[in-house]
Amino acid sequence: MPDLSPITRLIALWATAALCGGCAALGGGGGGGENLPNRGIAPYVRVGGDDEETPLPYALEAEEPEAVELREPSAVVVDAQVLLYVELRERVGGAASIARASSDASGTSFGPSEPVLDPAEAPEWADGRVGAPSVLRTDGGWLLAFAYGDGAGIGLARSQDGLHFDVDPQPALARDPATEASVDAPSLVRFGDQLVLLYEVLGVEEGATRRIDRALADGDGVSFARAGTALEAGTGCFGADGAEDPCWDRAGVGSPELRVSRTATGRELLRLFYTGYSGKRGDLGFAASFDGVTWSRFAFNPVVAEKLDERGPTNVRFGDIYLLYYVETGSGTAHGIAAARDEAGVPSERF
Amino acid sequence: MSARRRIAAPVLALLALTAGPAAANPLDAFGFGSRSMAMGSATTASVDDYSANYYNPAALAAARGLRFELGYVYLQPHLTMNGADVGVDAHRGFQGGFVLPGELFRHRVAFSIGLFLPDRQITRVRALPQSQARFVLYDNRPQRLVLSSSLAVEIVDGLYIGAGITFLSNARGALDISGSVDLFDSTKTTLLSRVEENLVAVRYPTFGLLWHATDNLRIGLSYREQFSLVLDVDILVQGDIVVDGDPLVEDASFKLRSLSRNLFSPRQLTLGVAWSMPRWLIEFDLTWLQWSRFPAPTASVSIDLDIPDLPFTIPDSEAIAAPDFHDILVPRVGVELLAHDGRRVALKVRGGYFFEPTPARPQPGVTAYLDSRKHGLSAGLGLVFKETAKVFPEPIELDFGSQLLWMHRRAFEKDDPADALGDVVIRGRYVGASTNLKLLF
Repeated sequence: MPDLSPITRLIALWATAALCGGCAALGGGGGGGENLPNRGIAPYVRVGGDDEETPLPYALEAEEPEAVELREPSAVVVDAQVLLYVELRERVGGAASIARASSDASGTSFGPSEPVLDPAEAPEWADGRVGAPSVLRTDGGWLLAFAYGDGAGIGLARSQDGLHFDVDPQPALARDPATEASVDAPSLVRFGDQLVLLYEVLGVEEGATRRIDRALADGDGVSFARAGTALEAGTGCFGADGAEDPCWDRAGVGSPELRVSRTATGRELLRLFYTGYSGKRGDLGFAASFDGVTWSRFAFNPVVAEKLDERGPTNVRFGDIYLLYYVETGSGTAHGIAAARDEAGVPSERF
Repeated sequence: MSARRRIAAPVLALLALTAGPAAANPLDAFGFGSRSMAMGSATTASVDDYSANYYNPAALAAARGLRFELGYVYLQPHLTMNGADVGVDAHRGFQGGFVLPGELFRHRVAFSIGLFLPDRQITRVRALPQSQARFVLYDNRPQRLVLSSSLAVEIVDGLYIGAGITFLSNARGALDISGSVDLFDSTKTTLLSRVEENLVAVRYPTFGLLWHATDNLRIGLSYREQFSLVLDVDILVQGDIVVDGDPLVEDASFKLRSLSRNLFSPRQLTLGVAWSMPRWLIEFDLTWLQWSRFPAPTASVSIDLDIPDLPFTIPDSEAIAAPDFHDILVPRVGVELLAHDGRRVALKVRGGYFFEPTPARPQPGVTAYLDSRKHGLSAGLGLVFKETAKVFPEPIELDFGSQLLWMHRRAFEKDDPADALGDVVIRGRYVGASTNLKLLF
């Protein structure tokens, strides 16, 4: 080894370290596009196999699909498991009950459903149908809002375990025959110190389209007071050339699914997935509000618009992803609850 | 002819000959050279090495003797949105240069080149959608080569001026395809293509002034012009669509133009005041950065589709909102202490601090150009080895610098509750170090 002075050795060591530092990792970088915030509005990817498989399997199907339809699901996450409350509606006669199914660890496949509420357990005003469930967990247990009759109104039921419910003796909101042809598909949340109820309404006037109305209640919500319309059929859409264009939800909106969410900065807001109709077929859209009074539609609606008929969305945050469930109806008897995942970026909203 | 006029002509001529490609953004963000980094980049009046190419070209004329420098810098980011690291690239690369002083018409002059060479990507040009959240001052802007050249001259005793010409290149490209396409028989498809790509030079001046007011007091002033690069791409496809030789569509055309501005660096004016004592040096700098002229860092795309008998239109691209940034003032302070001055080795201890307000306003609308105010804290050492006469005639210096760039937490809230991005909280830091070896002759 040559006889090097300490200075020379130091310089050689320095140069080697500097050069090695430069060569340690060559190649391009990501540039700050990783782990971007994701609100869980879009994009949702249908779960169930590759694109070649038609139709894709459902997350939940009726045991007798030729006799019973699944409608208006409502999802809640409990102990790393999704509980899906759903209306079982007979294709003939329209009688309906509410059942519950539990998911596997992925949240996208469900076991057999178990009965939760049967019209026989409800007062006479239920008129043979309890359906369109909306489940709210409270400090004191569970609240279940449901539609009864053929759009006759909305009732409430209470439970300690989420499985056995007692129906309130009186309806929470009964249809006003003078102005409402039907009241259906409730969604219930607690926002501030009030219970907020969104529900689907069809007016009595000729040519009326479905809309989403709002009602409020204090305390435990024995009865609700109407508080106006939250969302109406889409109007004022414009095409690329600036001319007015038919909106994707011009034929009505319904099946609201409301969630109270907290943003990354701690602000509370109301998230709303809903069904929009351009004809008889439904697609799914998103809107949100800071106060429950003024609502803003997502700029890139609809968020789910496949070739099939999609209705009745319900949305949960499940760990680090968002899941969206909805009723999907294809040709023939193809019918069930579909699941879609949104796992882009990092979830930014808590609900 | 006066002495000043005699000097001006050759200086300007030499300046024009020696102008080299340069850019400044990585240096705006993290400093240039280990000594300057260690002093919080407060060196406009006291810089004495190749980093004067960036801080104050006038200071080059005050240099004594030829010097070469080489080093490496690495700063690792941890910049988060809503608590998640978004993977902003590290600032890393080789840095160095040389300073060549001399005399011209009995006035001291100096020529220098400074280099920052990233070891990952030389330059990255990209345009993201305006609604995509990004750390607008760090995600792409620092990713570039910097090569600057400067010339300086002593006008009168103790008064120096310096200048450089910074230039990069805009990219203008065109792709033209013409011919006919047979829908069912590819062998009958004939297409001719033409590709043209021009790198068009753009030039930006840099000026510096340095005044040794007294033996202890130095005042420096530097000006850096703004610039941004343009990426301009034109695509034209025209021709016929045929089936078995029969025209289905004649004279159809598709035109696309994408125009984006990238790698913006604002106009800057810096005033520096340095006070030196036998063992101490302290400097205060104040820099004005004209961020109000920041153009939207996104692409403007126009598409024109003309297919006869086909009533189909391409939607207009999204309107681009101006970033609406504002100008900022950045104060800096740096100190240098000769802690030990022995017969063989001298040790200098350095420190610095700066505060950089953010030019980004709240982003309640469609844009998501995120940034927050920053504190920069730095420290470093300079080792001077004096007994090197067998190899080098002058002492060898080893500089080390380290820096912590701390970005404050900042919340961005959207007006629209259905905004695709929603509310975002950012915070973060850069931590890293730099080293340089100085060889003096």
